[in-house]
Amino acid sequence: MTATDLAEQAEWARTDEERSARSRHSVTPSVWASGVFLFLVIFAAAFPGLVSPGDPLVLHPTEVLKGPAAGHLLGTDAFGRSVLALLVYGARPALVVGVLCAVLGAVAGSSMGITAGFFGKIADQSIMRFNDVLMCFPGILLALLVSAALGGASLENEIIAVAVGTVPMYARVARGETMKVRRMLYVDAAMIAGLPRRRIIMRHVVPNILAPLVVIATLAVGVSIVTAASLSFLGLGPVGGVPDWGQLLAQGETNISVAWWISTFPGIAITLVVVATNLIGDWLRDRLEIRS
Amino acid sequence: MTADGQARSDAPLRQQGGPGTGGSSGRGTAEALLAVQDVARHFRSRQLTSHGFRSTLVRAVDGISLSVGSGETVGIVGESGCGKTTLGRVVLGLDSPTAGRVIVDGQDVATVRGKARRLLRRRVQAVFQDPYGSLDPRMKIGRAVSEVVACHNPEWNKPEVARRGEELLAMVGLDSAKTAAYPAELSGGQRQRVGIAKAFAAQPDLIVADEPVSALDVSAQAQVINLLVDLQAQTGVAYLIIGHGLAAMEHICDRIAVMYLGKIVEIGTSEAILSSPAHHYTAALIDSALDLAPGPRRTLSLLRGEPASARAVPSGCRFRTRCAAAQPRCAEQEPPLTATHAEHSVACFYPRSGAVRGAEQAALDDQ
Amino acid sequence: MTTQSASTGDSANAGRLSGRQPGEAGRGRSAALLSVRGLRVSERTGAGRRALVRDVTFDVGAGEIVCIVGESGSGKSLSVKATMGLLGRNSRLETGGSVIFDGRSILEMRPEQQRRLRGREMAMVFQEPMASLDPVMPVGKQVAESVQRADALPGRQARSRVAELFGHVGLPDVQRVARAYPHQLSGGMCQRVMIAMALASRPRLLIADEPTSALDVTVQAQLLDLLNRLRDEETMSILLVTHDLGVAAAIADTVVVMYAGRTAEVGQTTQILERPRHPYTAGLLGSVPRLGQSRGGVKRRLAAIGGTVPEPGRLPEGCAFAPRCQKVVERCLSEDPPLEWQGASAVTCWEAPHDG
Repeated sequence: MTATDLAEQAEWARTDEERSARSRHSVTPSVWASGVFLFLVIFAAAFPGLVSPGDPLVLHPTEVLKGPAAGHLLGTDAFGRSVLALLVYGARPALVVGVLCAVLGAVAGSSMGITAGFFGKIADQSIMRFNDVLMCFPGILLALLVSAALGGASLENEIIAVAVGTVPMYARVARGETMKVRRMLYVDAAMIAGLPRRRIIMRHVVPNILAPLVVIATLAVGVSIVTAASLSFLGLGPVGGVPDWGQLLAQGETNISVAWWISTFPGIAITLVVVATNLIGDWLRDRLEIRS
Repeated sequence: MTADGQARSDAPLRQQGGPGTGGSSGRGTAEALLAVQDVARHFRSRQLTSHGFRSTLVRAVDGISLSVGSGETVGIVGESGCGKTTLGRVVLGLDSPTAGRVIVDGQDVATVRGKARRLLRRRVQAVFQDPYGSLDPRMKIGRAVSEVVACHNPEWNKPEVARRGEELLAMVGLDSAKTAAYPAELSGGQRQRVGIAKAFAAQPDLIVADEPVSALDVSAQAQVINLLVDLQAQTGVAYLIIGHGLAAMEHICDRIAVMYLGKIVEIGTSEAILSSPAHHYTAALIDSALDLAPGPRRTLSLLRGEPASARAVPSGCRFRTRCAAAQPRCAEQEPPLTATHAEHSVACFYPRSGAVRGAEQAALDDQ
Repeated sequence: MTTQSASTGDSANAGRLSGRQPGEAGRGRSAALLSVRGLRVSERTGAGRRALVRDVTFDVGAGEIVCIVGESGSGKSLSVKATMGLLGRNSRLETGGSVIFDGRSILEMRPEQQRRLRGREMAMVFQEPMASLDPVMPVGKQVAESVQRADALPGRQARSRVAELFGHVGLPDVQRVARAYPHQLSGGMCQRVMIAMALASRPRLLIADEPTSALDVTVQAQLLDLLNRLRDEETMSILLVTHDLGVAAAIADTVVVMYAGRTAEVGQTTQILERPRHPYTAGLLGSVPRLGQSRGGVKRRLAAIGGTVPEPGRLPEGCAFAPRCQKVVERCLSEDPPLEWQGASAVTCWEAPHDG
């Protein structure tokens, strides 16, 4: 291995990296498909009336537990309601919960992580040990515990419970990134210049650690939707009104041998939304990594 | 900005009554603006060696005393590992000294608390070596400078802050079109100017500049050196310059301290140090400095061996392992810093006498 | 005496109009070991082509030290990489011009031939010695690998050759150093190890890209001394890239000054330092602080060159240095001056002084 070999390798490594960077930068068909799909779901959530064939709460007692057919494309449930209509109207609560949980978790988790990473020592130890406790519990179990602690089934409790479960993800990453930025020269420079620490955090730390946190938030939407659906499935979701996807799943469970469509379609919907958000999140991560 | 980068002098640099218009030591008084007394900074470092973890004491700064008067420029030269950067960090308050005191304008920084301490700290500002790292990559430079202005003038409103920010940028030779630029759009020299503008935004009495031009291209170095000298003439600020380029240091500094392995081995006026160095290390630095004199090449290397490490400081005089004039006494006792003339001290039992004759010096003398 | 001009595209005729080749005047040799004419490197971007190196011309004679001096953006490192044929695999870069090493054209060779040449007759040393060495292998072993590649020696003989090389580059305590890992050695010692590695194949040309920039000034002096010695004792040619004029002044026979991707001036060191012909060279020399210049308590202003280096792809019309030049005239703003030879010196400037 000579120095000239090293020069060669360095050049080639750089060429290869440039080439792969260019390919990562491109938007693949799967990312396109995810984008289009999510757009449709968001549209359905915003204007369910336009998409749905009818009111989901309307009962068709003569067509109870009918399979997918011309009249009801995805079949009917035990009360004769159109599964398709229920699915469309269920999109809103699913997305709202997903996004709210992601945002709530992001704010709470990132704040914890930034505080721990910036101030270090006692703050770091106490916050991260608390974080470790949160991480000990499997997501759904933690959500159950929090939900029970908060007093049971309701939409607000569901959102908080799910958000709590996502906090550790943010806290870890926010802490690591903050520690990295904390060591940067421009933070030292700001401290010498006399800027108050709060300002340094808001103006210098946060903008520079935003990228990975945004990626996590995107992925957290998917995780939150699944966890929320699980809670609803177990009966801890919102009470009354249109059943959301998790509650649909629960309903279908009892009838699964005779009416597979009641569980299957909500299940597929959840899966597709999660896959789509994951693909978008991955693509975002690749793009942002290139920039940094 | 004029063709050679001279700062425009029409922008007022010192406002009336603001902090830093004198303090208790006016210009030219005997009391020093900054006094470093016997400061030491040791680190514990754990290394994984083939014998397991070894914890060693790194004596980065091992007993330094020096002072900087109001409006004066003091330079610290030394090679890597001598502790000059650590000393800079201690003076700036980024590290606390393991021993000794840092006294700014008569007050020991360690004993002052709260708001008074913050005010004291603000009188010492910094310019860093790395023009890339010292600026937030996501902040426009106009914002970066006005942020500092706003912090020190909380009663001003936004237009006033913005105007002052632009004044500062003009002062360092960057026109107002650059206010909206991000650091990545500027050259190294321009970034360094922004750093200088930020340092002056706090209206300091002393600026610690850690290798302010080392990372710049040759042509930018000259511009920034000129700028620093001009700004000092305009504002009366004092400088503590940490560097390793002897010619540049001679150009800017009134006094120079030479550091080796955590201690000052020689200190005096630039002229005295560079024309008649008393310490052998200083002489070696001067002889090793590459000059632009044409003519027959001389043998360049004069020092034996490699610089020692701050982990394993030699007994007695630290420099003896590389010194051609070392005697047995040098291994037993550490020479103290003693004055040879007024304003010239050296830490050596067998100091040199007479001038050093680098090739350029010889050429100059022959004229 | 007439001046000869070589326009940028006319690489074949460059330098041939005069009876003498550059680099000859001092050494009296007829053929240069390395001859670079009109070297160009451009980058293909979405918006067309960006010229990073526009026209580089110089020679390196046998046993000569040539320093390429330039600031960032001058294209000096890229030129040298192109000279070694290292840019072939990068599909975004296009190389043009001619690079003749010992009568053979490097740019026209196949990659394997280039690699063989690089391993044998040309060797390279870089700026960060510790980054170039494998951190988990003792340095002696790494150099032994090079030795075995070059000479196909069995183990023991390779080791003694390593010891010989280490001694040659001035490393003390050869056995101890050979067993050490890179992080246990200082920067200066690592750089000597790299040079030893480079010397293993007995190259005729050693290319060093900023070899001393990361080192202390006292260590730098020792290393430059070593390079001097290698040139004297081995008749090795050295092509050294640096941003430090002092380095060039200390060891170079010939200096090539680059600006914005082009050769600004070529000449013997003494001439460059005492009678620079290109305003950029003169500006650089004037802007560097010199020891002894500011004595007597007066802080003199340095004669800095105003403005900043233009970015590749955003060069002004005409001469790239015109916006910053003290001697600019009308013509400079519209026409880019060609490289004009005058004996052993060449310059790209309309206003350059001519002798005779």
